[in-house]
Amino acid sequence: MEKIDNNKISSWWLLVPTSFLYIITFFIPLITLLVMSFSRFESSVTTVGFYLDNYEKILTDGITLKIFFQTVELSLMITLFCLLLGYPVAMLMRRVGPKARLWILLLVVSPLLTSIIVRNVAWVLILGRSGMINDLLISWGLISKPLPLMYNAFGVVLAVVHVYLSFMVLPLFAALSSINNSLEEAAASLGAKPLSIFFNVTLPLSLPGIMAGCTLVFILSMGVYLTPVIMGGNFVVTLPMLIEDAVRNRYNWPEASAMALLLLVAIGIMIVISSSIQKWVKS
Amino acid sequence: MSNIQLKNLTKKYGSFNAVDSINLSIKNGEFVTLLGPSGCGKTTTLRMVAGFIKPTSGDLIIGGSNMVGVPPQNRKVGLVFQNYALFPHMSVRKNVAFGLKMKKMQQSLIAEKVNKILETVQLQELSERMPSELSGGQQQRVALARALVIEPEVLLLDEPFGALDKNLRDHMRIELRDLQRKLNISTIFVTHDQDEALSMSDRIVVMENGKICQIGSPSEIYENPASVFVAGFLGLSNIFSAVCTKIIRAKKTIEFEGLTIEIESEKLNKSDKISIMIRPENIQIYKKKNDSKKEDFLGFIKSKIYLGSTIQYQVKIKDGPVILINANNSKILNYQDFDTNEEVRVHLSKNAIYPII
Ligand SMILES: Nc1ncnc2c1ncn2[C@@H]1O[C@H](COP(=O)(O)OP(=O)(O)OP(=O)(O)O)[C@@H](O)[C@H]1O
Ligand SMILES: [Mg+2]
Repeated sequence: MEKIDNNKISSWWLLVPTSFLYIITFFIPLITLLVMSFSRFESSVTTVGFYLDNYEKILTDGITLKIFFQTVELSLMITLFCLLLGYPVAMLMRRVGPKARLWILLLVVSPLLTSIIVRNVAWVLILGRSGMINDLLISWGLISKPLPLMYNAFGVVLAVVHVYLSFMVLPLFAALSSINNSLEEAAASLGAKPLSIFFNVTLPLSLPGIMAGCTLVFILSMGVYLTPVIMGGNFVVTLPMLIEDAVRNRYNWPEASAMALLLLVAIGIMIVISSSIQKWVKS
Repeated sequence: MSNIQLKNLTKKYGSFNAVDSINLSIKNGEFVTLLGPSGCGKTTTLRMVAGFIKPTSGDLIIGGSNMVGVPPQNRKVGLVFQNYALFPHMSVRKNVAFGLKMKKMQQSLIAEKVNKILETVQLQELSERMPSELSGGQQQRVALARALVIEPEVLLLDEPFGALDKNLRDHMRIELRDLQRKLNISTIFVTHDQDEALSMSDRIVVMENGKICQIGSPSEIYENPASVFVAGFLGLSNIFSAVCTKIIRAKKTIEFEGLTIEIESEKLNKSDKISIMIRPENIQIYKKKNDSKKEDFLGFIKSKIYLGSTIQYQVKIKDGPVILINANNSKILNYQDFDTNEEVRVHLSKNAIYPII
């Protein structure tokens, strides 16, 4: 018994390399952020202290909070579309053989393997005012003037979903493939039709995967920057853009820090919600 | 509650015949066991009956109607899986009620039926537990209750006791058999445990390489195996190749491994090469000093294994084979103990020798 305990303690040393990395790249910046967000920024001079100026501004200027909620809304939309598109893909991956599964996986992660610039330029060529889709529709006479396919929320959601789909599909696939086939067969032999099997067995048992995928995609979407900039073209403004503006154009690190913390709080709330949904379903 | 017929039922994977044109007819309320070594096609057969595998060819008739192409949900088949396949996110009660809920049965009727079946399998107290809070035997009973509550026409069980320990298995055997008799439900039971097959079945179907070797009652299969494979698969046996050397009407003289013995058989012809099977419990051994009959063989004890109710000896017969003998270890019958290397007399009665022709 003693020996096992000793082993347990000594095993913690395995964490040392990662701890260093986390301290340097996570905890120190986080503390800096926290300190910075309570600092005062006046005529280009930052004073460290405990001031609530930045928070007061964010919450009362009427625009930051509005953009924050827009960002949340956009992220929720991205998450929802990832879920709706990703679930069938994950189901398919579970049913096909290992070879086909690998090809589907490759297809799903392919956006991650291409450079963000190439990807977004491609979107412009496809969705732009004189992009492929609009050209085709006009030449077929289906529309007379170009559809607004980008430089709006639609374009942003589409492009971000394209990249983040893999972060939804992988946890979903992991959850689905851990469901024993015999459970669905048992349901079938008990008279359940395919749709009933899905809603009574498959869906509830894949809930952990749904929650993991949604949380992941939501967190990533709250912080996505470059794709909305290109696809939204100034018409879609998100909180990360405000942060970037504060840092780069106004050198206002304190305000940027406060906005970043707002983002962090939103993500924290999302995690709490998703874990309490899981707990609630379990009981 | 329905008769089942498999007609030339076949399942091919590529050119491999997992199940090779089997014919089987199961009467109402009959308990039939599929027995055979791993990979012989038992599960495949069962899954074709359940509707999860589409047969390559052949027909499956349940209660008079052809089931080929009918999806599992419309087959009225109750299925118990080896791993139980209980829904982990539902309580015992919800698991059992699932099939009735799918039938859109009235809530009060569902509750009534679920209570009744839970009582039958003695699980009333555990009805609000989750499957993960049950022991293996309890899970097994939930699986059974869940399959039976929908009153299926056919009950299918695929090695249902595989994960249970021996005592519980023996107990569940009796429980299942009682329940099956009470409900009079036609049952196909898959196992590769010969004790299970012998003790539970009305009839046993012995399979090998996707084909049926023999169908018969447990005693038929055990005492009159149709092939060396069946003889070897069920119980212990001594199997030798033999030649028939002399015939006087039904009296045939056979020779095997240097021994000559006379048996009675109608079918045997002169110079026929056959196999003979001798069950170890049908051979008697005696102390050498007792006055010997002339047809007994002499030999010595090569090894001895204590098995509790019996003792298993390997006896090397003088100028003959090594033969396996199970001697009763009852202290009140004519109990005799032998030591290793002790010289003994072996009595082979002609009834003990079963020719496999
Ligand atoms: N999907 C499949 N593709 C190819 N061959 C298969 C497939 N499923 C089963 N087989 C083969 O069919 C044969 C019969 O399989 P089956 O599962 O019916 O055996 P079994 O008698 O149930 O064996 P066990 O006692 O080990 O469960 C085996 O040789 C198996 O390898
Ligand atoms: Mg099997």
